Amino acid sequence: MRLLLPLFVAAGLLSTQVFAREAFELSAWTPDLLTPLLLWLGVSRPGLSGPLIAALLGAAVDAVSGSPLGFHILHHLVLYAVVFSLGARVKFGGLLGYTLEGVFGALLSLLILALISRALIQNPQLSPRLGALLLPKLVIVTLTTPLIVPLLDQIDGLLKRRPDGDLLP
Amino acid sequence: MRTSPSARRTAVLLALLICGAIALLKFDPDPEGHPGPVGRFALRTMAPSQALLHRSGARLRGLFLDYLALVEVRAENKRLEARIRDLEDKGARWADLVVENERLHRLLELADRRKDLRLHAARVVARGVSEYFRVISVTLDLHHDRVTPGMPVIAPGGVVGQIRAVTEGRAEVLLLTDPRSAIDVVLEQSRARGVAVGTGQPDQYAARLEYLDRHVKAVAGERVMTTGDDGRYPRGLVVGEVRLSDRPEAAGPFQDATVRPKVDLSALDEVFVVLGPSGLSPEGDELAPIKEEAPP
Repeated sequence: MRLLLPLFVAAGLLSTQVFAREAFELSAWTPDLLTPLLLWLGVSRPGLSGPLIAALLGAAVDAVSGSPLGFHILHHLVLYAVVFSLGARVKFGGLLGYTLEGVFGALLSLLILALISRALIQNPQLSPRLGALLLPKLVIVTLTTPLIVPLLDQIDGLLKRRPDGDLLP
Repeated sequence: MRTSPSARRTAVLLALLICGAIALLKFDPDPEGHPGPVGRFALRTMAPSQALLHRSGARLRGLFLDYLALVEVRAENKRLEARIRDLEDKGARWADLVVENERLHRLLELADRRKDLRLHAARVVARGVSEYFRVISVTLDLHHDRVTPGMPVIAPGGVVGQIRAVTEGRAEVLLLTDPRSAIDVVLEQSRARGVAVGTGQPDQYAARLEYLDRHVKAVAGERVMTTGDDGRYPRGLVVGEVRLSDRPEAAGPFQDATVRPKVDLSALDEVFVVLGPSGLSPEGDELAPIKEEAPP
């Protein structure tokens, strides 16, 4: 169940993000709900399930975003890896803490995107677009992280009390 | 950095997955950059759910836009309703002005036709509320002191009545249908003479034609004119039309007839007070002075 939860949540958040983008034509201001999820995964899912979910989520985003397959997989995995390596050091707690976590996640996400674009895609059109994404992504992830991360913590806390445990170590 | 066996396993898995992702990025697309077999598989897998999300999102957007359009239509509707009310007001005002213009035009024609009379225009501002007496009130301008009781009041159709009382800026007009009104008249064709006395009937404006000789063949509908002999109304003004009685004639020297006023006394707006003769002919020509004969 503890493996399925992030998968369900990831599918739900991705669907919400795609739906919001279609429904309101928000473009750059589409709510980024996946970065907070990856932040939460990096801190709260240190086992094998975290990287697998991050990779699956990346593949799904690649499929629905028109990016080359592997682009978002790599982005999510690197983001997960950085957060995983920092561990609890990026988990501050409290509203201000979650907000700071969001700022950190947004900047890190954009940095990783920029690096991948420069190193592997080598498309000169991508860098200016990333610059235009900076403010919306910063604002949106900063706002959504204090909502999503504590919610996932709460649900995970409830599931931890049940003895079925995780399917993967 | 975490160093537990579990963390090491995670790190190894991460490294493998990252390598796999880089390999996908590098080797899956064909030489032209199109998705390779794995990319196409991913697209096929996600296509149904993406299409579903696209449709439902588009539907929600459609509903949202329709709602916005509805709000705009409602606002537009209110604006148009207000505009229609405004135009209707203007239309009514315009129609009023047209009618007033026609009235004033007829009034001017009357003044032009009767240059032999000194006329003073007045506007009707009130009507008497009595069921028996028939009066109206008119406003007078700065020269109201020239208007005195007894002066005839006329309108484009003919005689209206006479001034009954004058107060500051106003005058009360006794209509020709008031029972206190009596006008010396002559029938235009049969030349029979009589006196038009108001009936004061509550349901109609009419005058009774008294002293009409029984032997005169009055024609129904012929015009009733002022004679000028009563010293009040100038000669040749139209009072109304004759209406002969259907009832069997009573014995006596006079016949039964009524006068239907030519002027619609229920819908008067402007009238002329006749101040007196102007010393000109009706056409505006100077009248020749009356020569006094030398004593023999």
